Amino acid sequence: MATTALSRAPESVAPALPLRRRGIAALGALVLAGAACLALGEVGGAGVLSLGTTLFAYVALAQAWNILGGFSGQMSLGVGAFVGTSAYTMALTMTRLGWSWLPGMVAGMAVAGSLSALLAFPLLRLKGDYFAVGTLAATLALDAWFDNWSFVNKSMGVSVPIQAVPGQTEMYVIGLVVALFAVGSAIVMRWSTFGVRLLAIREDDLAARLLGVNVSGYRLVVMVVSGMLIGLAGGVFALSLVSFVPDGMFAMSWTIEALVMVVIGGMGTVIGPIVGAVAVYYGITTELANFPTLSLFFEGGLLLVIVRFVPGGLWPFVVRTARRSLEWCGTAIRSARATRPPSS
Amino acid sequence: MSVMTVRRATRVIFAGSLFALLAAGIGTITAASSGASTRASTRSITIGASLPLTGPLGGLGSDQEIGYRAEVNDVNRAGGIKIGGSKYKINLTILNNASTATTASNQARALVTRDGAIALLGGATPTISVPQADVATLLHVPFVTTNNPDDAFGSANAKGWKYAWDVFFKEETQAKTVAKWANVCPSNKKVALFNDTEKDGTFERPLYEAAVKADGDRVVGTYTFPPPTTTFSSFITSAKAAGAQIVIGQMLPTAGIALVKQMKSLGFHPDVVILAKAANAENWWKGLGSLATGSGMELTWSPAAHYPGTPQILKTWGKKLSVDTLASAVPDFGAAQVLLQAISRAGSTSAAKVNAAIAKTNGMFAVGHVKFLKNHTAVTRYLVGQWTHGKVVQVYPPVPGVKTECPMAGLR
Amino acid sequence: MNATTLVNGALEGGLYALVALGLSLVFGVLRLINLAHGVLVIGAAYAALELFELFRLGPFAALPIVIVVAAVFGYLLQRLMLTNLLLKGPEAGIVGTFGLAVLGEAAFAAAFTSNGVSLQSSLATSSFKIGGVTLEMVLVTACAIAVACAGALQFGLKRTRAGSVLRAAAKDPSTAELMGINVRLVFALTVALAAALAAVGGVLYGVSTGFAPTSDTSLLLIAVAVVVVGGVGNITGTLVAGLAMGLVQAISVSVFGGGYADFTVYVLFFVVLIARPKGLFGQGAL
Repeated sequence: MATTALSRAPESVAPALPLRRRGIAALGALVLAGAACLALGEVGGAGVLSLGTTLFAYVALAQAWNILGGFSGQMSLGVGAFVGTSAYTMALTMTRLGWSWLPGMVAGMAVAGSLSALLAFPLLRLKGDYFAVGTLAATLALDAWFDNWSFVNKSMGVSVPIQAVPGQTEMYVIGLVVALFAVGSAIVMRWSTFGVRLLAIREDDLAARLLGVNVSGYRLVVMVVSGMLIGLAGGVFALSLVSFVPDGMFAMSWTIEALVMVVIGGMGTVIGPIVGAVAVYYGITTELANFPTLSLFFEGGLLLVIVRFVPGGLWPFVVRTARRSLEWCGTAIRSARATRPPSS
Repeated sequence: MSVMTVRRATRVIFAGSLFALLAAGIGTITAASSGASTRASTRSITIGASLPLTGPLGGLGSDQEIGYRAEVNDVNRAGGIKIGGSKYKINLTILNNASTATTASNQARALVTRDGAIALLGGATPTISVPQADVATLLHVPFVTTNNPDDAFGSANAKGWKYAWDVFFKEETQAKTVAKWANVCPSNKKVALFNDTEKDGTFERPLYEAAVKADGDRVVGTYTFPPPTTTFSSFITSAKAAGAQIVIGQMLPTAGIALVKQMKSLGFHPDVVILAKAANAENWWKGLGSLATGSGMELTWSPAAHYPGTPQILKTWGKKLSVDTLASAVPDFGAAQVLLQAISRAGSTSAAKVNAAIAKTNGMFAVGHVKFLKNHTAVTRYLVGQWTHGKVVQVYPPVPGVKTECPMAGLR
Repeated sequence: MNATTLVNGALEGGLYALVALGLSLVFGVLRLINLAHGVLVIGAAYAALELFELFRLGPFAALPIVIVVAAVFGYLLQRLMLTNLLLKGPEAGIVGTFGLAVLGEAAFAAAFTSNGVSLQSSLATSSFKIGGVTLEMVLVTACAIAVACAGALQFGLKRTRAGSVLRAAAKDPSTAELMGINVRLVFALTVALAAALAAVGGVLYGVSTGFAPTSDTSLLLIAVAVVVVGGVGNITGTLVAGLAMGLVQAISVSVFGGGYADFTVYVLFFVVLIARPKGLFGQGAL
């Protein structure tokens, strides 16, 4: 297996400030952002509420994928497996056991997490592309199974009882909480010793192992957390979709959406997936839908342009540009000071 | 201040500005759309439709666009829709959901909340329409759809639909009509059923079984397969061995084309072949050529059915569109008629009033008689057409002067 | 379950193998899961359809033209697009090729509508009998072509100078570069070759069944399964895995019913991957 010539250079991973302080600062920013979103939902109309709900669910989905793919370096092509199991668990507990949406969603998260743990045992033995393909195989098999399983009504699908679906404002808040939870998990993982070890595993798992890091343990934890977060997002999707079939909920498109959002926004960063979710869902999916025939051309073309010309994703690009211009300003000011003769 | 603090500060500033930008963006859009709707209310109303214009259902969706637009254009050309004494232009906003249910649902929401649609028209098949009907139910917006077999749609909401309505044929009618037509031809009355595992295929299979049995036929093979399947040799071999002379099915067009080709190749030549959903457009003929001769096709409209407006439809579209495209587009034309007439009768754009007016619909439309049942579906007729020389002619219910050609010539 | 079912099942597997060969090559040499592979296959079928509509060329008369067009397209694709993406890591390759797939589907839908179409050929509707077993002509042809392509490829890779250059570039691109091999050119020619193979598969697929703009997804998935089961970059393995996949599908359909056709294939895919990550037949030539 040769990756040398075409693989990217390992990034610098040296934490700048004491980790905990950075993490706390980021969590503080997250709380502020959450409050701002809440306020936005308050003043915005129904349009903001419905757009926001879906957007938040995608933020959670992208962040969950990023935690696994970006932080620990395991590319998953099996997002649909967790969206699907969670959505189905939710619908089934709500219709058959009469649960309300909250326990239903928690159950969905738990089942998605358990599935994740179950799949981790065989899948974590696989590396790189093979892990990716393995998650894909598992998802396809699950989809095909649900299509034939009469307990889940086969390919005819299931529904969440529509009278149990929360109103638009509540849905917005639920979506927001799920998104905050996902981003918060990412922050905790990123700015902690746990996160640093994860980066070490991502960059060189053999070296990490030699340094005494429990590589499989860390990977298992990340996979389960990612699965649970995808499950939460899946719960929000199930509530807003109400009726669904296996081919929709276990679809390959969930993976593609999450992956595209993360790569476009900036993989391995905390803010990148948020930027990506906004850019892709709001910018491409929602706004371009007004041009029915052209939307697919735009979508495909934009993806190509972005991966081709904005390497590393939009967020790191913005940060880099900003830092450069700041540095440039700083240099300019300093040189201006230096060259100006003392006035008196 | 260390470099790192500067770095962190930069990040925080940019995160903040990002959120501000996002908020501003959403705000602008909302303001723009609410502005549009207030402006709109003085001169026009918006009707929304999220259709599967591309993807596996793209064929159906494109025909839907033709039908919906045609009705709206007709009304607008006549000066607009009359609501409570004054006339309003209709602004039909169509979005492409690319045959995915999630997008269909999100777009239905956006059409109402962002574009200010006062009513929605639905996308083809229950996979697309049911999530849209759920959105309509949650947002209290009238929703009229078609291309959804009645029972699958009617039963999709256990508590019963409130704002969602469906104008189409009933699965049982379909099964019974198909079985009746299959027995027009003399055969050994042995039937092979081919259904994919999509929602509608699964729903139809037991009904087909019951219907052919009621007509004295025997089911000698029941074959189900995932929708993208394009290899059928094992089924065909089995059906051939069982001596089936009637083939009835429901599947996607690509699967149907593959099935007929492989039947010919493996020397299986039943007398009657009708594959619902597969033979739904000109491409059936394009894909199969003379192989398609004599195969059956489901129709919800045909010139021979003499529904209201038929001469006009033929005059306006007959040159541009073939009968099989029209057969698929006219139900959508009819569904749009049902919605627009209800809005006009309601004399208001209030959701409750329009909804009540839809419920009272009782009359002849381009798809025949429409009157809604308790489960919010209006049953239209199911017609069977037969492909002869690249054209479709209605053969069942029987039309004077037209005879079903038996056995299916294409496979001989 | 009878002999005709089993034999035609295996022959269908030959078609899978033909479709999968190009994917295996690109996966093996460039380490790229080419999500646009299905679009290349379907694109070739549409190209043949267009040639029929323009010049009344039958699918097999059109095939050489389609192959050349596909190869040129593959070469340019790698030169102008994929090389840059691959330098940015595997996820950029996945997103980029997914973008291409979306673009391809959009182009096909715009040019040919979303309805199912098919390539007409008498080959698709003829068959012959060997001792009571009916063989579909088109599948026999596809299978024979798959065997021929795999054989030629295997020979080329193992026995020719070009083959050893390709293997060297695949195994360790930077060392190969140092040894004076123009890795970028080699990679571009690999993608061109893969696209040409996809074109052959596409035309035969279009003749044997119906296709639509979104048919690429199911083709891609089955091809990925075949490639992984056979061993990435293992040409003979891909061929055998394709045949085996067709056979297993036919058996599972006879035993469990058609609904489980996909389930069996994907469970098999998963199990093989877990038990033997390098595929049933190992990494092979590359």
